[in-house]
Amino acid sequence: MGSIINMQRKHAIVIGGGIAGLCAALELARFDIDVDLVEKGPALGGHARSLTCKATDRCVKCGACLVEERLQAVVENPNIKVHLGSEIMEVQDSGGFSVVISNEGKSTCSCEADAVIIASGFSLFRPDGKPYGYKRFANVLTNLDLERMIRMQGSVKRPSDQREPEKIAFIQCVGSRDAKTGHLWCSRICCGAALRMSRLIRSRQPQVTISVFYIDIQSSGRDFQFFLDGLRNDVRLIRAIPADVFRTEDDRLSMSYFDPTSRQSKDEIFDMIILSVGLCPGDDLKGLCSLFGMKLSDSGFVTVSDKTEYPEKHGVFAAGTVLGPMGIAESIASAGKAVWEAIRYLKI
Amino acid sequence: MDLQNTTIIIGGGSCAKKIAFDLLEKGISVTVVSSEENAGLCLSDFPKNTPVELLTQTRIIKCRGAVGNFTVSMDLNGKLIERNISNIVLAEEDRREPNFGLYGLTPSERILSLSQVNDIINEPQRDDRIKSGFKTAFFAGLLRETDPVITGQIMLLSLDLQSRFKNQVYILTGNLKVAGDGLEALYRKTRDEGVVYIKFSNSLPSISQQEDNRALIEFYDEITAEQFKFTPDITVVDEAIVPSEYLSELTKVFKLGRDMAGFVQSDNVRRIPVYTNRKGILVAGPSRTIQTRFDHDIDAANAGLSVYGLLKDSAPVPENRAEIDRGRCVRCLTCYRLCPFIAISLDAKPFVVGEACEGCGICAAECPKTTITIKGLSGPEISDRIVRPADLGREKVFTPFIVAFCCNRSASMARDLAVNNKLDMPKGLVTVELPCAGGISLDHILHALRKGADGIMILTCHEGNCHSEKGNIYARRRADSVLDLFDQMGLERQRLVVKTIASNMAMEFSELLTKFEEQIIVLGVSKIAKTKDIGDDKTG
Ligand SMILES: Cc1cc2nc3c(=O)[nH]c(=O)nc-3n(C[C@H](O)[C@H](O)[C@H](O)COP(=O)(O)OP(=O)(O)OC[C@H]3O[C@@H](n4cnc5c(N)ncnc54)[C@H](O)[C@@H]3O)c2cc1C
Ligand code: SF4
Ligand code: SF4
Ligand code: SF4
Ligand code: SF4
Repeated sequence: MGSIINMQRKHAIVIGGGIAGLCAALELARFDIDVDLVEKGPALGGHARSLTCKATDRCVKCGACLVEERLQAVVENPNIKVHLGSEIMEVQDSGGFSVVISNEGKSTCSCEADAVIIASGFSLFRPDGKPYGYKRFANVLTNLDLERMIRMQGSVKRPSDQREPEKIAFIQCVGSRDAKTGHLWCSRICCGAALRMSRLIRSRQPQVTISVFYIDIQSSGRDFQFFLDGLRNDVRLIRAIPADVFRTEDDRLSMSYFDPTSRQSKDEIFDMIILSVGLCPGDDLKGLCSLFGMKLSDSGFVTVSDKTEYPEKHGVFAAGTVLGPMGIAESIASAGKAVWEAIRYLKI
Repeated sequence: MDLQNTTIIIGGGSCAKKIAFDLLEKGISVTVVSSEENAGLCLSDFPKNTPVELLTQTRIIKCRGAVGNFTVSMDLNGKLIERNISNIVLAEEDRREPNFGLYGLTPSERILSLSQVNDIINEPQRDDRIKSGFKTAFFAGLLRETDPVITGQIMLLSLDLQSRFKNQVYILTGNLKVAGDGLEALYRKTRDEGVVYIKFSNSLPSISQQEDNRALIEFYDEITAEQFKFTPDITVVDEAIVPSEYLSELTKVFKLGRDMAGFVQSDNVRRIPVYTNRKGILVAGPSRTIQTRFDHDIDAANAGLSVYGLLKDSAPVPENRAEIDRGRCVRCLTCYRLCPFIAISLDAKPFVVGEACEGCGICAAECPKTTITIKGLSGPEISDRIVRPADLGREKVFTPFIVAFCCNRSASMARDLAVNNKLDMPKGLVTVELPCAGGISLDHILHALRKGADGIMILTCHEGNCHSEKGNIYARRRADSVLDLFDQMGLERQRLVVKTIASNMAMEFSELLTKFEEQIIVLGVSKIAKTKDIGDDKTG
């Protein structure tokens, strides 16, 4: 790599090209810091880029559309070099960082950095082990599957037969707030996402009825009371954690749960079931952090209890969901904070 | 002190202090202004020999100018003072409003607010209203949804009461708000300590106040299916976190957008994280929304970053800013009233402050005398961009010429995505990008018709998602007024539609336009297009 190292300019590496990484890169570049943005996947944008807009008559402030603008700005920014399909292989820390980046396992390049921002995001909980029939029954989807479906085709259809469903159930907190999996955290975004999604589906496909099975509904947005009051007439909210899901002979889904109103176990038939799976630490977060000599908290995120304390390691900062479950707005804010810390550290 | 480089930070709490510290570290001089006499701050808190000024008992009463050059007038305990500054950060503390009224209770020695309990627990020797062995009940978002800040505080207090004060704590809640750092773990810990949670989903307790001043709570327990009567020794009502009254005054002084609760920053994702509708005016922490202290620190960092960025930014004002031909202006002040970014100032006549102008075009489109111009947005410039695809209309089947005016922040990006993904698009589509749909004028639409457009679509951001707040609404209103003209010209109304879209919705973009094309095919060639020699539209 014939890169010319300009002594005047500082150099940073941002790991992960999700909304947090994009924002971090842009803010760094604004201060004339040269940025290498290292993204493992084939494209920038991270999870937020799969989400669909849930506006009906109005924007519901999910923030998903913010990615596109940031993404364009990153691609056009001369201070940012994007490495797609790339990962950090080696790190040497001698005041600054010497980092080896591999490109799709084929070629490698090395670069020097004065600071590093880790923004490699989260992994979604894999619900295969839960008794809800994910991967066994075609019409059981995760929240992310549903986002993708609506974004690509504009409406919900049953994957098994492409028919419009009549009854959809959302199961909240799958893999969150769950002692069985050791996930003692609320993923924060899935209540809001499920409710907004329900509203969107009801407005586009009014014949569909929606039931949301929940433990506690978490607030989302600035006028949540208003939003929730409006939603109650539209969506059935049931406080229960369903026990299991079976497929019926006519290819529908039978779900059993303890009905709090009748106080009885009940089997109810749905056409589709959506699992609101939670946000978990990124699959390779541990490995990545160990490259930088950093430890993770008990929950597996970079830190959970106190986001203001960055890893004690000098010159390494963290942004977005590597710090714990959070939404797009919070990810953007945490990227700003990481960059501000980096700028103070670099004395720019 | 370099006055031009000063930032005013409004507020006397920890968030304001954090911002001030950070900026001082960067050599930026700060004036911290608190309306209170006894702000949580004093000058000796700040590092020595740094350019800091602390004004207490001082209220902002007026603000003139724009980013880089604001003049702020203040009332310092009756004395009028003025400062010339570059940037402003609002970080006023929020306020707690106990929900006594909501639950129909009056405060007493048995019925306390969350803050009162907090004070008692911190200084039990001064106030011994909570005694060992008490039954204490907390209301946590029982009749109105609460938030993780309040819920977290309730859980922490309940832990203390349960262990240190040997109380039996009950938490009555609708939805327990655990969407905050460590709250689910804390919830489990409180349960392990013996705190009892009673959750209501379909029923609500009835609450009244007894003569002995205790609350009487009667409810149906959803788990045991039994009716309960419950008179705790202490009942603690939760609190709403609300903006201070002074903050609402400030939003008027600075002409800032607000959300439904009255916090600064309109409820618009375009303002994330700490931006307002005015360049150079930022909002952080407790002035922005309901947040924990940790989140306040995150906001403080973002405010620091933004101020520092603005000061370092040496880029010249871009060309495409509004300009007013003051000779022709009739001083109707339409532009002054409508500019969402407060970029128009007044002396004898209005003038545009280039640094603050975002080039949205709203003023230009609305000015009754059309005396405002913006480079790139004039009628002829727009007209030049409407070029009919060469092979259209020469085929046997009718292929409509469709002009889509696209907002740059939403529709244009959706179009780019759709093109990249090779989604279906009308063959005769020409898109015209605008910085904001609010800048679309009658003139632009007429130009499209004159160029032979068979259909015109205006694509804006969704309502509530507009960078210029109401640009999309103005666009719709203008289109509506053009439709009356369509009637007079004998053109079908269906030839002009306004739609909203988000930047990430490529498929939707493709669908909207292909459906529109079908609709226009049914209508056939536009009457106006027919009257022209469509083979050569340069003669038109
Ligand atoms: C179904 C669903 C609905 C949601 N709805 C909403 C909503 O309505 N509102 C809202 O605010 N939020 C919502 N969210 C949350 C939102 O997606 C996240 O807040 C956001 O995506 C977090 O961004 P991030 O950059 O931290 O992480 P990510 O989006 O996970 O991005 C991380 C990036 O880093 C890359 N990466 C990972 N490991 C490495 C590595 N080792 N090296 C290099 N690169 C790496 C990944 O490929 C990815 O591109 C939703 C999430 C889901 C799953
Ligand atoms: S914030 Fe969400 S709902 Fe609003 S326009 Fe963007 S994608 Fe749509
Ligand atoms: S946000 Fe809702 S669904 Fe998600 S983990 Fe929290 S409580 Fe469960
Ligand atoms: S173009 Fe927009 S921002 Fe500029 S002065 Fe006109 S209304 Fe204000
Ligand atoms: S809208 Fe036009 S005429 Fe009215 S004050 Fe502004 S520039 Fe002058």
